[in-house]
Amino acid sequence: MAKLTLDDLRKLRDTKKREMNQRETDGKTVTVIIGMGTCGIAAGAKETFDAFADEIAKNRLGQVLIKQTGCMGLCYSEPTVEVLMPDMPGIIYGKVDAEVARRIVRQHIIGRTLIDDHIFDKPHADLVPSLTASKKAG
Amino acid sequence: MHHTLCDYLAEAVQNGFEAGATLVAVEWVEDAEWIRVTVGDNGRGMDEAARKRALDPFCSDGAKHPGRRVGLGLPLLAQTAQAAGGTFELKSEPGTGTTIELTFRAAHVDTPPAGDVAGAVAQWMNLAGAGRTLLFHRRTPRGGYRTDSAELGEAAGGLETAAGFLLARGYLAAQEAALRGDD
Repeated sequence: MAKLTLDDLRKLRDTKKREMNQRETDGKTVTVIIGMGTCGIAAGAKETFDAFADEIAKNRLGQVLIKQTGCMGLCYSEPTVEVLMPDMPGIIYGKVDAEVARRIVRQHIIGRTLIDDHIFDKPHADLVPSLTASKKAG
Repeated sequence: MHHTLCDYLAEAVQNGFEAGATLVAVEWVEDAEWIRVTVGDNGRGMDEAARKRALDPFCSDGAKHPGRRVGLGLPLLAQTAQAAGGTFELKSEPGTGTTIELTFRAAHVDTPPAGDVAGAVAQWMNLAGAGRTLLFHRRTPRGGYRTDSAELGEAAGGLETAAGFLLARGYLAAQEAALRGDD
């Protein structure tokens, strides 16, 4: 099999670029942050990541960024995903398998509706001792 | 916890960036007898005491998980390599960075499967993001390839967009397929 070269890739990129950005997210950037620590990977975060990439591309959402972080301290609910977008609350979703990832793209990012049964919100201060300590110290 | 070599290496790559590295280099060389992997970074590095603590499973600096008293990443990686008839070596100096050298016997029953190399490397490159670089070099008896996240990111149109990530993963998958001799 002939190797794909970087020049081939640039041509593919230009073709794809014309296909993307056809559905606007109000011209604003959306960020999806996937917990890829040991606990996340053990729970299937790699598949979650791939499902987000696939579903975002399928829906031609050119302004959604996919980023990674380590463990968010919610190991019991891995894979965990934070979604940040304008005019919506910042949400941490838990137990996000590939199917839930696709729902987040369709329902949260496109439909602007929260997925109630997977919301873990931000970890409250009383669940994270270091935050409690720093609040008391402050 | 981990099933594939790529899973273990993901942790080593993350550790490098979490240690403040702007560059993490992964070299993966295979022949009929051995799999040799080196992960090097230019992060903050460790002194001798910190190196000892990093290899103690019942020790953690608590930075990522306050109150946790175990740190299994490197100890499990060392154990996995040694159980597969291989070796583990940790080299690190403060201010210089850290290098992990691993060998596995290719045919040993306890050597973890490689996993999805293209998918894993694309995710490590996404982790590097802008302003940091992940270098990847793979060599097998059938050939090899070398790539870095800055160059691949530019060619793919950014590794943090879905389209760019998928293009980069496709590029890496094509390099892997060429190594396997797939039609």
